[in-house]
Amino acid sequence: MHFSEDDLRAALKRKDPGEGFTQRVMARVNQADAKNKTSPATEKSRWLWLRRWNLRPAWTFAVVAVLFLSFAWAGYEYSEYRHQKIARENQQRLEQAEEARDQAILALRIARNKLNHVLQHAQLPADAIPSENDKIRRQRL
Amino acid sequence: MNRVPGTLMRILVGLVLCCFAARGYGQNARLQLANLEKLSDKASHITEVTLDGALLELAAKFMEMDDDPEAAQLKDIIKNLKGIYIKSFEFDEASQYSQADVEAIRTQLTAPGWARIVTDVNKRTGEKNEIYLLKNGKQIAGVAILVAEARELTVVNIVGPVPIEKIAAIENQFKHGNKEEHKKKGGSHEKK
Amino acid sequence: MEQRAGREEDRLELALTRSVQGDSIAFAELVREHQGMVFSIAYHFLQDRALAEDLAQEVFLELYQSLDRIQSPAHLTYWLRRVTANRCIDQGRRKLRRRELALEEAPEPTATGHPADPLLLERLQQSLAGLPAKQRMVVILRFQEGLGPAEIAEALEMPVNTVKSTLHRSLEDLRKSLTRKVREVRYAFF
Repeated sequence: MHFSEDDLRAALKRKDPGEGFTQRVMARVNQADAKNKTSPATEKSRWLWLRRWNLRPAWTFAVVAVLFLSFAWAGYEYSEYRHQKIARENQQRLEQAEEARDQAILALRIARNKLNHVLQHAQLPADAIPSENDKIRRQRL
Repeated sequence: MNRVPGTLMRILVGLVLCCFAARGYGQNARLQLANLEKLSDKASHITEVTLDGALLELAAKFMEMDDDPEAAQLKDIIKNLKGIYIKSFEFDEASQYSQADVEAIRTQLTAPGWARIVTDVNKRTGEKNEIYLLKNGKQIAGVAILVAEARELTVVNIVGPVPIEKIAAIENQFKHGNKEEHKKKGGSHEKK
Repeated sequence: MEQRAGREEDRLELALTRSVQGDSIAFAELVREHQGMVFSIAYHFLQDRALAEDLAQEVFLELYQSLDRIQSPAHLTYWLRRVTANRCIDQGRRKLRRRELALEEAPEPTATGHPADPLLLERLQQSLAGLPAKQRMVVILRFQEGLGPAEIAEALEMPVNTVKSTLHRSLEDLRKSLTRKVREVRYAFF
């Protein structure tokens, strides 16, 4: 069956919603207003600065993605910085410990050498450390 | 009834004096060697070691991690020590230091608790080598070794419960530490 | 004519500005101005007066809550069409109630050209109800609102070529559907 575009336009001609539609809409608006207890302008003006951007979903996604990546990268960099700092501190501590060990060995070597030197000169064996009561005195001429 | 406060007072004073005495022992164990600094200019070779507190603990902990049996031997020696202080001067010529310099050290070793256990004197050259021990009851609380020879003056002062026989018995082979004679360090330095 | 249109534009601009500031009378004026368009889109899509009014009220409620986003009267019209269309499509995913339209709801014949057969118009509307949601909305926006393919594409967030092919296919489907109905009627008599 044939029909023309005019027939279609006639079939889809605008209709009026009838008497009282506007009042019914306003009643719902007032009801919603009373619920929120703020005027739409005041409530929304808080976010007006953001809404004015009127971002399309793709752009919003792009902005969120960029922000997310930025934060992720910053977090990664900070983590790297912390790890490197800890590694540096550990390395320093290790070097300090090595140095301390080396000093201790040097000190003990000197102590051993001098102790044995004195005992040798006093003609005492190294394993016979005199006690307080012994008080060895040797004079060489 | 009136005697009680008096008795308590005496006990308190006695305790305070004991505390000071104990502190005195601790202080006596470490010798003041600052007066020997002036010999640095004349000496051809200087060895100085100041190892105490955190640095000594660090050395002990590091040795603990070492599997080497020598490290274990050394760790055993230093683990309870409070400090090791060494000043050693070698001179190209004799008589570069005065007896007064050495007497200043010996005077400190006349403090209560110190006892000289070995003296070796060469009357011809005037060299005198001594070993002192500081006793706290039956425990050794410190050791001082004085080597005063013609071209050398060395003071070794070890504070703490020193296992002196173990020090004397230390093996000659050290894996580490040989390079220290040729390095300048924070806690010790050597001059040639 | 242009002057009248200009004055109309200014009036709506003023009503919009006042609505944003919280003037409910100004907002009511905007509702009156656009209620026919919104209701008609919903009605022709849903084919149910009660559902259509409900949907239209929700659209205006959403408008009230989004007034600060509207930049101009033209933007308002675009916004209303887009929101109404999307709400209709969402609702249309549910099973559509197919009702025979009462006679008083039957479309009026056009004033221009030859007088349209009321029965044809009724059948057209019924056939429209048989189209998939997006196709149906494309036809409504084209023939009720007189929008071009580019405007329909923007409102429904579809590519322009898709709109064109959808329109073409929809008209084909409507013709086929109407032919089937006529045959059914013929067979009913015999």
